[in-house]
Amino acid sequence: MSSRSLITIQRLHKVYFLGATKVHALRGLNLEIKRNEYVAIMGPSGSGKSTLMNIIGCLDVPTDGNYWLNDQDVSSLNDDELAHIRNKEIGFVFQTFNLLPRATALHNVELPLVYNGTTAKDRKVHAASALEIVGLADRMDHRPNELSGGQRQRVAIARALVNKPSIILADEPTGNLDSKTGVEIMEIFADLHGQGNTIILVTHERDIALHAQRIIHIKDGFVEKIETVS
Amino acid sequence: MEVLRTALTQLRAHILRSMLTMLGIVIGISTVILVVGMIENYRSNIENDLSKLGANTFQVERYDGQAFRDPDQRDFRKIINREVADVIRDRCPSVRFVGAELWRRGQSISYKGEKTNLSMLIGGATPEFAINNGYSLETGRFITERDVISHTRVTVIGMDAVDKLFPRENPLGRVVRINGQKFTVIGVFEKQGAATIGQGRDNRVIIPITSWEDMWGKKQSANLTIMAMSPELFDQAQDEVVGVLRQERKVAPGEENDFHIFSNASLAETLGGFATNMQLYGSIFGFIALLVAGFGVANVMLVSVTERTKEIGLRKAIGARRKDILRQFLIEAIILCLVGGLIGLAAGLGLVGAFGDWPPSVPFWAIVMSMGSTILLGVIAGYYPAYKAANLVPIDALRYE
Repeated sequence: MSSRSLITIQRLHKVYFLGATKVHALRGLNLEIKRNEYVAIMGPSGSGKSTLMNIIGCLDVPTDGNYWLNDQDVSSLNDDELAHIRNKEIGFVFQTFNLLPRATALHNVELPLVYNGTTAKDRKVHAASALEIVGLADRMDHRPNELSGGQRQRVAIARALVNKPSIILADEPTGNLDSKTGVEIMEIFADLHGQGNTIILVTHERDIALHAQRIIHIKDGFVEKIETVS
Repeated sequence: MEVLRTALTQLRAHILRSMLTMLGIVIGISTVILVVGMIENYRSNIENDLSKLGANTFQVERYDGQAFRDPDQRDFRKIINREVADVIRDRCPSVRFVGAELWRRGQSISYKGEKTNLSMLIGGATPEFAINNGYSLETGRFITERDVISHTRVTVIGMDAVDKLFPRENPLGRVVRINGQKFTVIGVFEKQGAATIGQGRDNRVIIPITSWEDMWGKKQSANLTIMAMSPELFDQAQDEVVGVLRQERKVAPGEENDFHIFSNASLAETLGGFATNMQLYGSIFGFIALLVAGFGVANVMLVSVTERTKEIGLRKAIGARRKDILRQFLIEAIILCLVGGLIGLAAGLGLVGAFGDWPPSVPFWAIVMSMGSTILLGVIAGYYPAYKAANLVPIDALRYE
């Protein structure tokens, strides 16, 4: 393992069963991602891209192989330990935003802080400043249905930022947005990267992937090639 | 706090569904509170009534079942002659007072063309009546031995008659008509208030027992009211009276008494048993309602878990542990039940108050128990849905549409 890398993945295997069918999603994949890198993961469906993303996001565990995140071996943690790592280290941004419909923007952003015991007062302060970073300081009391798609995704990005995670893991973040709004969201990711955040972008759109410094192409459970964006 | 907030938001968001689910709990809890409260009311009223009966007093009647009589089951018994009171007075050393009473129901009395309705109860009595039955006089005097001996046409009336016939006059010395005959009012009973068993006691109109017999004859069985010398001699007095009556009425040894003795104790026992039964049935009904409601709560919670699969996935993705999700859904179920329970409690108290005294008195234990059981219901009904939610796999839950 390398202590300089934020993510070190070695010989990662993932086998799961889809009914009676055995699916070998990852077949000994190796990957390193350094701190403050901006990386895109691309690959056709069935390539193992989503499985890799789930393991990087600590939503799933590998069948074999090792995954060090921030110098900690997270390959064999139990559910509650993984929940703790997700809370501390990962900020998720989803294609479908996944906001709580009945909660205000501020309350949505507070949510990760609820699960690490932050006091109500501190939650509000942190959530408000995260919303300021994504330019929604004036929309804190709005509910998701009172916000545009782009604004909703920005709330979701603020939620991903609020715990100051090691990685921001974005899964097709512009997939549900029109191209103009998509550009705005990609600008926010570029800003966040500029401020020192590590960003991992999962996408199947080359235009989007080109915002990253490196593009990792996954095919048949392996890294097919790593492309450096000039 | 956060969990509580989410729970209340959910409750409000699905207000109709929540209300319908709560309905069973509301019905169950309000029934239990109503029954317990009514019984409590009833019990304290009975105790009140019984203490009015006069201390150390028991009654002898021809048949038993003062409160709940069943005429079909009676065997024929000869009447109790009022003269037997004199025998008891002579031969029972533990007895202090013996009074005899004859009653005529459904009577009306009148004064100067003004008539009461037919609810008056005309009693022919001996002087012991007032003390043995716990009546006090508001004004005037009660019937004396002399009145009884001389068949005097005098009467002591209750508040019902006073209110109707003498709204603005002092009734003392006025002449009223009872069964068409003239009687002079010599006294007025203090107001007795409403009673739990039978009618109130304010409809009594008492005349000397001899005058009563002049009008209605000697064919009716008398009630005897007997006061013991002291509380210690109460049982002794009863034994003596039973002995005298058996002898006078020629009851053969080994045969059952052909008369019945009532005392506060025996009456309280009967009514207490009745109250306990009511309480039991009420509790069973409430329990069944809660049980049914429990299935409703479990069902609605399962629906809620399914609907919010994606939310659960998200919460897990951003760091919620199993126990966080378990706790959240358990608390939602408990809140749902508890809100229903509180509405039921309020409705129950309202009903108790409406039927009885205000403010309603319901024993504290019943309130604690009913609220405790709604919380327990929430835990039991909510556990499986909450467990199911807590064990969702985050990647599957996030992908759920």
